[in-house]
Amino acid sequence: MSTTTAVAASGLRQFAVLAARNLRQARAGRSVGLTVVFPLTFFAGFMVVFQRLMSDYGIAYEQFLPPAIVVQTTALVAMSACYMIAGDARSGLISRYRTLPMSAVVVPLARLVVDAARAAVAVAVILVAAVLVGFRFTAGAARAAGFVTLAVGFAVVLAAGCAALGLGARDPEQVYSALTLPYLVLTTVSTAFVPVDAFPGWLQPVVEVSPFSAQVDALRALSTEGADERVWPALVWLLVLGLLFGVAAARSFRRSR
Amino acid sequence: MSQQLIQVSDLRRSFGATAAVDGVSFEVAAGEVVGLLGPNGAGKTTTIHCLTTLLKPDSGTARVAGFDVVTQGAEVRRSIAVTGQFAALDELLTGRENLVLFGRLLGLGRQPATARADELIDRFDLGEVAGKAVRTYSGGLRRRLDLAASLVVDRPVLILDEPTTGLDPRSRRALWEVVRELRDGGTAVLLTTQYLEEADQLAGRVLLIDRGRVSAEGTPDELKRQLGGAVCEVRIEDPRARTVAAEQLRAAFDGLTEDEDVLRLAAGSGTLTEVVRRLESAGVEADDVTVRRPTLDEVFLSLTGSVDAEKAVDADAAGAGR
Repeated sequence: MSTTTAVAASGLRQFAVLAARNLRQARAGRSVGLTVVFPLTFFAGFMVVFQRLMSDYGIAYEQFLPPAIVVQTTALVAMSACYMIAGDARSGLISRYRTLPMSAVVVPLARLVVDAARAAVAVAVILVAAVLVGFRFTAGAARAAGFVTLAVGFAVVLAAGCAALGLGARDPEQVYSALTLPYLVLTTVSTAFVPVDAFPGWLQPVVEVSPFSAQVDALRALSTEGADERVWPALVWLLVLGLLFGVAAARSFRRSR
Repeated sequence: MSQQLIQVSDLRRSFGATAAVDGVSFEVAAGEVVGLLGPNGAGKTTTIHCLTTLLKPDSGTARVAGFDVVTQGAEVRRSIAVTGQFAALDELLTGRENLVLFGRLLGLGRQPATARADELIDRFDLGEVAGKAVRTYSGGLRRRLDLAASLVVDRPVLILDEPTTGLDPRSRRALWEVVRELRDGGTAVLLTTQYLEEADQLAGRVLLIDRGRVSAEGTPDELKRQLGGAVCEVRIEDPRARTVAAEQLRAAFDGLTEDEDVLRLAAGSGTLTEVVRRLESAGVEADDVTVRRPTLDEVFLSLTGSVDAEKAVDADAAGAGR
């Protein structure tokens, strides 16, 4: 007879244990600092260069730009999630998790909850900086809360996609730099920094369907008395991408190569 | 007691056009250690990956603790302790924290997990480094901690993929001791190794794996016998005396080989007496005369290499650096 102690670990406990560990990893890597430094620099630079120009076109850039910077930050949070999980894959830790009795969703979920926390902190830092230069939530607390929730939700959804990539990757540096290009294209070919009519006509349809445009537009609508029609597309994107990336992340963990 | 805890039947797995595992079958019973022995790329690790649910086999079946690795992956994972080829640890955490982490992931409460961690730290002699971050550990320390981490909870099946690669002799022996204890406690142990000594020391049964197939199977003694029995070695340092002795022995035995100051020939019953008698009558004083079984190295080379069985002894001596 074997001396097996049949231990049935609850998924909840596994989730809590791993989330605590990931939080520690994030803090050790000073990941929040790194994900806000670049957007803050960008923010300062764009404000200095474009604020006067944009006001000539009737755009209050201090109100227009911060949602874009928030989206930039959330994308960077997601990319660093990919970096961290790819590091765990490289060290063999993920393989060990795969041989343990764990549900396929525990590892990605424990990753995402920490990414949500990181995104919340990063968004808060950006918003403080924005308020200092004149950004205001003009539509009340409820819409402001919606703003933050949507921003964090977007970060989590992107992070799920990045985690799926990272789980399959062997080299954190490589996969991170591979993500830089889509990141740059998606943030610039969107309504993040200029309105859609500033783009050449042939590019405007692309800008309009971009999930990044939908996200930025929704955040702008939530920070002011914007129309609710501006918010819905972002929510639809969030749901669709969330499902897609969520399934991809779980499959990527329990993938039989 | 003879419950088969690992049952592998005609397992196959290819990567593209390469058949990494090409029809492997074997069983491991409770309380038994089976060694998969073979060179790099022989298919050992692929076999292990199939058994630990990391890979899906193309065909054939594999059952662990009675559960099918494809359709009952979750049950299989609840029955195995695994140490992979690379130390899979959290670099950021200390050794103790790693053990507690895995204990908690496996369902132990905080207190039991900590107690178990301390027990394992003692058993694997990690006391001095348990409080340091794993990224500061040497390769040997990592392997030890890694093995400890896979033993946090008792499982009926222990699977070790090259567990002592990179370990110093002392740690290797300590690990062997642990494996023997677990075996005696009824655990079924499957291990892969490139070290013949390790298979010889630990495994009740050895499977020689070569290019995805089992090329020989048996107890270490049986495998050694397959090589053709014992070897008689006569060591004579004086080259002139050695030449004389070689002539004398050649007259009586086939297949005498010379290797530096050693004359070697296949030994049957009465060989030793005949050798001594002939040396005496030739007036040659040998520095040493021994009869020994072939080493597992010799078996290994003869069965997996391009070297045929008769020449294996020479080949091994020539490649003694391995």
